[in-house]
Amino acid sequence: MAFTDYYKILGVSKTATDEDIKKAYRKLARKLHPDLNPNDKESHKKFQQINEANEVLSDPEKRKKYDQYGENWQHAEQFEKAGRAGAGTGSRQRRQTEDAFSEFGGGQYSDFFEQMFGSGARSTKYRGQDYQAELHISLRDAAKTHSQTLTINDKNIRITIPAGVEDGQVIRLKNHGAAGANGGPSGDLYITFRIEPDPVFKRVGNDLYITLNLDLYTAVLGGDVMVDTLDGKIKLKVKPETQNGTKARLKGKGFPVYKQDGVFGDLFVTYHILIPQNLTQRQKELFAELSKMK
Amino acid sequence: MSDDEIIPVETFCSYYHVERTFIETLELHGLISISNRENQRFILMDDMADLEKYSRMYYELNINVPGIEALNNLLEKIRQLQQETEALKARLRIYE
Repeated sequence: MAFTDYYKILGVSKTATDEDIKKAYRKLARKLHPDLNPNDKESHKKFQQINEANEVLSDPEKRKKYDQYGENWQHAEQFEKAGRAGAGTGSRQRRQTEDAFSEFGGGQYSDFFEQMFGSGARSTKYRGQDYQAELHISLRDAAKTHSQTLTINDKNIRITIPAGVEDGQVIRLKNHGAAGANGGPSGDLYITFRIEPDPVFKRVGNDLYITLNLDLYTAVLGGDVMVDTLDGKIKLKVKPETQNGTKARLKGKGFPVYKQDGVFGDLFVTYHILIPQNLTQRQKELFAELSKMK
Repeated sequence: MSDDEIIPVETFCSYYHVERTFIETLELHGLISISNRENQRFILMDDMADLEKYSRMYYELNINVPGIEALNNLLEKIRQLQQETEALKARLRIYE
């Protein structure tokens, strides 16, 4: 376990006054606080460090112990046994900071801190930590309302996933996070959906995109082709003289719209025209004949 | 609205050690909604996460309520831009 230099973390000298420490902490906190840096794990980690440094240096008793033992903090255990009463009671700041931390999970204090000062005798009620989970589902599963059972910390939670859920969408399950401390409420469980790419369909919003290989003759003369949709194959009429890259739009054959029963996006079919290969002599002659008619 | 969807302002203030005037100022700035029922004022559970966040900004970071309002607007803009970036990335994947 490495020694943590709390003075360095806050950018203050060892002779800094309480006011200097408060100022330095507030300045850094305004820059790195999780509420001001949502989804920024690096800032959250740094904030965790400055918060811990402030917790120690702003408390005269803890600061004295830290200054006294410094790098030999391992001996602090003996110091504890020598008769120091338990750690201080929870403050508003500590509780609220813990709430802010809960959004990215993990412990609030380093091993160094816990070993030196203990986790404290907490009489204040603390809300349990929020849990974050990712749920990976296929595009085709995301297209239908279905249930899944998740195992979070050995507990099975059955959730219903509505059709049309988006990649990156987050749902909150209240009180499914960690249990609260000292009778505080449980945290929440946040589930982020990750939709796996599909080999056939690409999704943009509620629309689906598919590329359809079309033989040259159908592209030139027109005809019927079968195209994949989420509900199976359907027949599509190809207009004569269809150009490569042309898009056809099939209304209402796209992705279901989230929480809107019976409403669907569109399916866009892009034609990719295949030039025939390995032509016979006769075919080559016919193409040559055609080319002369230009 | 059922009882488990609201929490009395007094209860919140005493649990979180915040002043009643702070809650009232947030309401004045339109940052939270307060519901009145039988002469008692209630915070909506849906506002709880935001209210906890505003309390942290106010008490921990020393940001005043107009500052919180400005920050809230900026954070919302960041959220929208992040969503837009995600949507554009998804659109770009079509051409990959």
